[in-house]
Amino acid sequence: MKFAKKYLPAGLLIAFMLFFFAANLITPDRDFSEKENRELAAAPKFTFKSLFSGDFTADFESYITDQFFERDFWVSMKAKCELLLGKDEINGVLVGDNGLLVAQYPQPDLSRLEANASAVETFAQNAGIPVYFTLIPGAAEIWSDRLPDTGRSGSQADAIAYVCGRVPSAVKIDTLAALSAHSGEDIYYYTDHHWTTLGAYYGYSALAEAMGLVPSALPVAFEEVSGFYGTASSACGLSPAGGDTVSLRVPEEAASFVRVYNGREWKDGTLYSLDKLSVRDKYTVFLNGNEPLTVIGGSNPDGEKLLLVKDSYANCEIPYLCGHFSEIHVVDLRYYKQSISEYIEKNGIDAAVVSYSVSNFSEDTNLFFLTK
Amino acid sequence: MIFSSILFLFIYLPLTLAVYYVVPLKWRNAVLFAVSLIFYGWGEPVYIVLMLASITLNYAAGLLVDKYRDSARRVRLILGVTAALNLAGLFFFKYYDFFAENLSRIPGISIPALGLDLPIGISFYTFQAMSYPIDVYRRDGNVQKNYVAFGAFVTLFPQLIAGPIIRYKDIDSQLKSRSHSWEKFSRGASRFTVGLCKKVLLANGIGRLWDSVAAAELNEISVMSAILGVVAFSFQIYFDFSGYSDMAIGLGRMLGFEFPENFNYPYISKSITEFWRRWHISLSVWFRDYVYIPLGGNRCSRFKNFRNIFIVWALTGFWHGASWNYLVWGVYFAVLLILEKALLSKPLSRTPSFVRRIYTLVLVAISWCIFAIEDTSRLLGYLSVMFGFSGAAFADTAFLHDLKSYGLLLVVLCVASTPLLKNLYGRIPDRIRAWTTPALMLCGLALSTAYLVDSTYNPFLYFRF
Repeated sequence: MKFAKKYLPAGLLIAFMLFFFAANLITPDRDFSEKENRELAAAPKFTFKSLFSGDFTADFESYITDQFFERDFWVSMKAKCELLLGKDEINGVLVGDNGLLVAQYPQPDLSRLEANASAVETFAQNAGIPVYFTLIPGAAEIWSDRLPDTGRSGSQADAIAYVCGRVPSAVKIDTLAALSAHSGEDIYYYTDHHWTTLGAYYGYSALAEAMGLVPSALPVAFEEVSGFYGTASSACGLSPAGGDTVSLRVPEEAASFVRVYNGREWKDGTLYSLDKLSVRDKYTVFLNGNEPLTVIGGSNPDGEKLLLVKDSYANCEIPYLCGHFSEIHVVDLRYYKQSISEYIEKNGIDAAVVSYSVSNFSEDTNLFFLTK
Repeated sequence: MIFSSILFLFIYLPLTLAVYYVVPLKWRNAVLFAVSLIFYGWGEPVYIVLMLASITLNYAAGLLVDKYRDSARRVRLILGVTAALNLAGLFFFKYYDFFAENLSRIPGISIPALGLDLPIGISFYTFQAMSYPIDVYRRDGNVQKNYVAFGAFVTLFPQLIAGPIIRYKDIDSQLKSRSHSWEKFSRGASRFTVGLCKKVLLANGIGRLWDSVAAAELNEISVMSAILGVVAFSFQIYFDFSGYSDMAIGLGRMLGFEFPENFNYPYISKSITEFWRRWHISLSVWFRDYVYIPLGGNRCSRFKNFRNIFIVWALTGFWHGASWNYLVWGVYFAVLLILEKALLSKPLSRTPSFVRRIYTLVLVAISWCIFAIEDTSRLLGYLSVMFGFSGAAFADTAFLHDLKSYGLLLVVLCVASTPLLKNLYGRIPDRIRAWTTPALMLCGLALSTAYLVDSTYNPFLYFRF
């Protein structure tokens, strides 16, 4: 007993520190956390300049925190403790019924919404072609009844109304109503912030009808992969048993060709990057994630040429559109920094769709490129 | 660098302890001095120069005071100049912008602000270094001829950035010789773990609640949310600050030092006077020894005594930050302390204990509003919501959700604010505690590590001090 009292606390603390000191030293650094779906900080390079600016020490601290031994274990341990304490919101992710994980939609910054709305309005006025505008609400809105009410969430319906009122020159598509009508179906993933191919189908139907097209029937899935844990799971550290299922519905043949411009050169691409079904972020199977510019040949040679300015939500909606157009030019303003009006002129575009998720539209700072 | 970080726990501390215990006894002060400078310079390497200037100034002053101690005129001059230089450094880095900004409000005066980063812990180590020549003069401590030992005293990393403030006389003899033993190291290790858990698990945990209330628009806060918010901040600042002190005391023991206690369950106080005997004790003691008593303390007329209380607490407030709200916070306590001394001591003594505790907690909670909210109009708005003058709803969804999310933690915090757990744990027989203590430590260390690895929230509250 004397021995335990005298040595154990000291020995324990020393052993605890030394064990992880050594473990961190021995285990090789990881570049990327599959689980958190982000690049991990690498060892900073020492220079006297970075030391005196304070950059070196700050970078070094993120480096050792990111590369900590068995990081994923600790992150999920913390999340489970939070649940035990009675929390239903972890790192900004709401924990709902049946393992539903949804990032909270905070009170939006109205000046950001207004600036983005005015960029779309200016674009619609000057494009010289019909412009369609859709804001896609997330699960935080449509499935709010399955999520805890923190009393501090923003309303995506209000944000949509606020923005649409400021974009009179575009044809607005009521995706909110289209999705609300099917809120009982699996239109969103349980662990990721995107909509499923089923949700995207309802979004596509509403868009097609607004454009005067007859939407095709919902195709049966030809490929289904389960065990998908998305961004919400990564952010909070919880991984509900089973995970999500990714369903691919429109066959690859719907596109006659896919050309991808990665900012430097053109390459051949596909509607689906099937190898991505085996990585953690399976949503990147659609159009291989986000590229600056993708041109897709549709299966209707007599159809119009469509310009689609979008975020990642549209990636799984685009296959449905292939049957209606001759070409679909897909632009992601976060990576494509050239003039859109020139592009329209040069490529003989007939119509444009601006498609964003509400949460992205509330924060994105690249929409002004629409007016360039 | 801060204690509650992966860097400190798993790199800095093991390396420091290894080097410290490998070198012979006579080199240990030098090791402490060196590693403390690294600790201090980690975020802001340039401010090491400032630190060395402060050390050199007070080291020289100590030598001079000792040499000329027979000439009262010379000693007074030396002490006066040293204090002025110390305070000038503190003023320049901490208060210059505050005065520049406020003086510029007077028409015809325009002083540009400098916008300097506040050197971390400057208020702590300036006070600590300043105490030395005075202690030497008063013969409370011996003159320190060894520059390295004196440097180790000023920079001592366990209490460098958030206290406790150690007077030279507390530590004079320990600088020369201190005992190192496994038993002492063990007591230090368990104390450090307690402090780490208080900071990482309790203070950070409840701090999120205060932050979400503080971030909300005033017209969206209900009465109960406002009350819950200030309760949360009261817990955050106590567990954060006392957690740091516990870690400092624990680290000190691991290095062979015994530091004075800094907190003694302040939230069980039965009066504001008692609260200040239990809260941030080392700061109160510093002001008592070097300001209050030299001004005459309470051995003078009643009026002068009240004046002294007023001066000391106004300074105490201002010490916490260069902003009006901290000054108001200090004056608020000065007024309460004077009231208790002049009028309330008799009626309070006849009041039941629980009423006195509620009286104290309510007044302290109001003081935390003043402390936490720098913007005056927001502060007044917040108080009027809290007291139901603004017509805000009594409770709302956010309040109910917070109550559900933080209820369990709040119960833990309430219990941990009293000596109850400590007393109960002390009743467990020694032979059982010898095993349960390390087991609990392991749980605490593992949980703290988990929360630090996923540290989306780990604020340092004393950057204004």
